[in-house]
Amino acid sequence: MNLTPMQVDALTEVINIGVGRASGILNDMLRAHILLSVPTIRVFAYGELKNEINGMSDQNSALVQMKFKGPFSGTATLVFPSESASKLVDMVVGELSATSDMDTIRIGTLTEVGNIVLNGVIGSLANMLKLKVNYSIPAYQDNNLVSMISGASSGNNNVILMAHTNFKVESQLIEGNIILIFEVGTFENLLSAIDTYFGLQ
Amino acid sequence: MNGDPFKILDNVPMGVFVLRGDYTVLFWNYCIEDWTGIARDEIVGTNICDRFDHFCKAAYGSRIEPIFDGGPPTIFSSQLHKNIIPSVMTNGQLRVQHTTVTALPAPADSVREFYALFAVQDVTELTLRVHQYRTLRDQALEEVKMRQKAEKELMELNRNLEDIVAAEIKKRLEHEEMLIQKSKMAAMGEMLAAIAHQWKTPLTGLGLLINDIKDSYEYGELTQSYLDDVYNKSNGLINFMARTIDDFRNFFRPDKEKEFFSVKQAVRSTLDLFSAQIRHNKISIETVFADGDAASFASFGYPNEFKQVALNIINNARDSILERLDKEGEDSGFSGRIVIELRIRDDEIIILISDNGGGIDEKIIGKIFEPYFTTKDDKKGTGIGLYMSKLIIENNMGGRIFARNLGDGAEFAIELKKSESTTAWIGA
Repeated sequence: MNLTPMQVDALTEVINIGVGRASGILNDMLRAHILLSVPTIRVFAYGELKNEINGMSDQNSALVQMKFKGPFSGTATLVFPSESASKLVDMVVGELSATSDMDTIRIGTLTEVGNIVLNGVIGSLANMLKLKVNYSIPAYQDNNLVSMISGASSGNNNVILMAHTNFKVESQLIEGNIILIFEVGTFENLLSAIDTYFGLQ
Repeated sequence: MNGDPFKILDNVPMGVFVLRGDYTVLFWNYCIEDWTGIARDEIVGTNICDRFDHFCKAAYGSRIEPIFDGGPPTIFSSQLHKNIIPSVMTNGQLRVQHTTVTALPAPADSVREFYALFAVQDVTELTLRVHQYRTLRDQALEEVKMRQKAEKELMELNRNLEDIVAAEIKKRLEHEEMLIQKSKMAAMGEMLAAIAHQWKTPLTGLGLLINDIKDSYEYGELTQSYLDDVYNKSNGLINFMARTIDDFRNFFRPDKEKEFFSVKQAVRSTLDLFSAQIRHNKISIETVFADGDAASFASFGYPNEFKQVALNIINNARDSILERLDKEGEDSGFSGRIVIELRIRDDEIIILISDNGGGIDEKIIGKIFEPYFTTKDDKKGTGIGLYMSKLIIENNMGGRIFARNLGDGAEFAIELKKSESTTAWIGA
C-alpha cells in the first residue's frame, strides 16, 4: 500500500476527530467516564493480512459491524476480545455481571457502544469530506478476527485500515480495534477526497 | 403534514415515528399510538420535546443531529434507554424498548436534507426472559460452588473415615484374637481339670497296688501269679489314664475342616467324657433324644467346636442351679434338673438344653451373647463363653443359637442344618 506520510497523517487526523467525537458522546450518555486514546493506524492490502495481525487472531472476539456504500464502500467493524467486551459492558452499565457471557441485553448495549464509535469514525469521515454514504444498521457478531476479515473481503485487492485504540474506563484499559475494509477500487476515492480536503495535491 | 408516504409504516409491528430536523413530529404510527395512548391527530405537527423532553437534551441531541444530515444509523439499546417513549402495559409495567434511528431522505425543498425515522422495538418479554435466565444461571452456579465445597468436605471426611474404620477393624481383630486365645487357655484349663479329675481314681488305685507289692514282699507272698495280676491291673489303669489324655486332647483339638458328624453322638460323647465334672448329688441330668440312628442326626460342620459349645451351655446350666441351691439352702428341698433334648424338625436338628436354675435376668437376657458380656468373674474361666459359642454356631456352622426363660429356669436352643451323608459312622 503506497500512502505518502502526509496521507497517513491526514487519515490519522480524520479518524482521530471521529474517535474524539465518539468519546464525547460516550461520556455524555454513559455512567462511566470513558477516554479513547489516539488511534495508531495501519493500512495494508488483504494479502498482507497474516503478517499484520499475528498474535491478535484466533481468540474469539465480540464484533459490532456496519456496512457503508457510496464513493467509498466496505465494512466498518469494532473488535474486542470477548472478555474485554464483557468488562466494557459492565463498566458502561455500572454493574458487575456474575459471568462474562453476552446475553441479548448485554449484546444490545455493546452494539450501542460500537454504534457510537463507528458512527464517530465513518460518520465524521463522510461528513468532513462531504461524501454521500449509505449505511446498514450495525449488528453484533461473535467471531474471530481472521474469519471476519476474510468474510468481508472479496480478495487480495481489498484495502484494510486498522485503527488500534484503547478504551480507558475507571483505570481499566480495554483494547479495541477499529477495522475498515474497503471494497476494491473505493479506497482510492477516499484518498483523493482526503487529498482535496487537506490540499495535499 | 403529508402522511401518505409513511402510510406503509402503519403495517410494521413496531412503534414508528418520523421527526423533521426541527423535531416536529411528521408521522406517528398505529403501534405507537396504541402504546402511548396519544392519537396521531394530537401529536403530528407538534414538537416532540413538548411531550418527551429527553429528546432535546444533549445526550440524545448529539446523536440525532447527524441523522438529519444523512449520517449513519444510531442505536439506543434497551439497557441504557429503557423507555424512550414511555408506554405502560396492561399489567402496569413499562415496556422495555430497543430503538434504531435511520435517515430518511426528505423532499427536495426541505430545510434539512433528511428526516429521522425512529423504529422502536418492544423487547419487554425478551428482557424478562434474560433476567430469569440470569437468575437461574446464578443460582445454578451458586449451587455448583456449594456442591463442590460439600464434595471437598466429604472427601476430607471420607479420608478421615477410612482411617477411623481401619483403626477400628484392627482393634476388633485384635480383640477377637484375644478372645480366641482366652478361650484356648480356658479350654486347656478345662482339659487339665478334667484329666486331673479322671486320673484321681486310677492314680489312687496304682498307689495301692504298688503298696501291695511292697507288703506282699515283706510277708513273703510275692508269687508269679500275684505279680502278673498286679501287672495286668496296673496296665489297665495306666491305659485308662493314657486314653483319658487322648480323649480330652481330641475333644479340645481344633477342627481344621468341616466334616459330616452326628449331633446325637457328639452330645452323647460330651456327656460321657465330662460326666465326672458335671455330676452332682443335687442335680439330675436327663436326656430326651428323638428316635433315629446316627445318620439321621447328621450335620456338616466342626464337631469338636460344637461339642465345646454344648459343654459350655451345660456348664452354665449347672452353675445357675448351684447358685440357686446356694441361695435356697441345702435343706430347701430344691433339686436341680438339666434336660437335654434332641429333635428333628423338617431339615433342621434342634438341641435344647434347659435347666431350673431360676432363669436369666430379663434386663440382660438380650446381651448375653455379646462379646464383653459376663456375669462371672474372670478367675472362674468357664470355657469358651457364649459369644464364642454364637460365633461357632452362627458364623462357622451357619446355624442359630437362642436363649429364653422357660418355666423356672432357662432354655438354650441350637439349630443346625441336617445333612445327608453316606459316611459310615464311627463312634465319635
